[in-house]
Amino acid sequence: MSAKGRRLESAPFLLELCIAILVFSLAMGVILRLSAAARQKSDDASALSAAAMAASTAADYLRAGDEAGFCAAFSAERTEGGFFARGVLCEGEKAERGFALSVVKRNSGLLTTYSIELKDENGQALISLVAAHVEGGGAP
Amino acid sequence: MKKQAPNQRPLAFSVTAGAPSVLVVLICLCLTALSVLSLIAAGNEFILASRTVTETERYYQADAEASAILAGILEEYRRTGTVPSIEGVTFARPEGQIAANGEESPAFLAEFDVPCGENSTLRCSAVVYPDGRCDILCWKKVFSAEQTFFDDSMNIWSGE
Repeated sequence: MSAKGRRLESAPFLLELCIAILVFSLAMGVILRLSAAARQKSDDASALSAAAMAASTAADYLRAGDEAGFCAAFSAERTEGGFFARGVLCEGEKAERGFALSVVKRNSGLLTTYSIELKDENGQALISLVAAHVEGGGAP
Repeated sequence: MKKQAPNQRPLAFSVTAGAPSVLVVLICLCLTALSVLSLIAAGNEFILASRTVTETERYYQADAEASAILAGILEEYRRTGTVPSIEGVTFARPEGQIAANGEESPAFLAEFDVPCGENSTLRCSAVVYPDGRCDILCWKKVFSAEQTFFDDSMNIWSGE
């Protein structure tokens, strides 16, 4: 076969290869976006679970009336209307992110109410709980 | 050297034509399927975490309401010395509560339920003393009777 004939026969093959590479790169773009979205969603879910855990731990300390224990556990500082703490959710994991925990305390007779709000580092509220402590209440 | 017959065409191109395309399409299909599956799994994980957050918020909301009711009972009893009348709260004398002098103890049992989500309630009962103290006997989330979560019985035809 002559050189011209070989060129004519390999041209469609090269064309197909080019189209295959183009299609593959387009598909990879879509796949990478899907994977990134899945990763982001998974990280958000982990952070949300950790936020629920942290907020319920804080609520349990406060509803038991253990403000000192709460401050020690969360390294929280007392503010004018309650408490404020900063920390890290999912520490050591890929979904690691900072959080800010603010607690507003209200007293009314025997009842002390704590409004707990946990926000992520972007200021987005992840969970907000209400805990209440009754003076004089206790387990048998 | 053997000569090629005039009606025979070289096989080199016909064998390789289309093979890269098929391979690329298969690889893309597999990767897309895996990506979509991981996205669905992550979405489900997020929905579960959101439900956990919602349930936690509901529980603590109900807990705070129950604490407010209990605080109201304690304050009222300490202030007036009489068993208060609050809607939704039942009052009874606790069994075996006899004072040292043989008279009936002034303590009473308060029981109430606070709704906690669609199918559950927070059931609370506490013994309240005249000095504004109380002993909590029960403080737990219970599912309503209509809910049949755990009914995994099989309906098997047993004949006419």
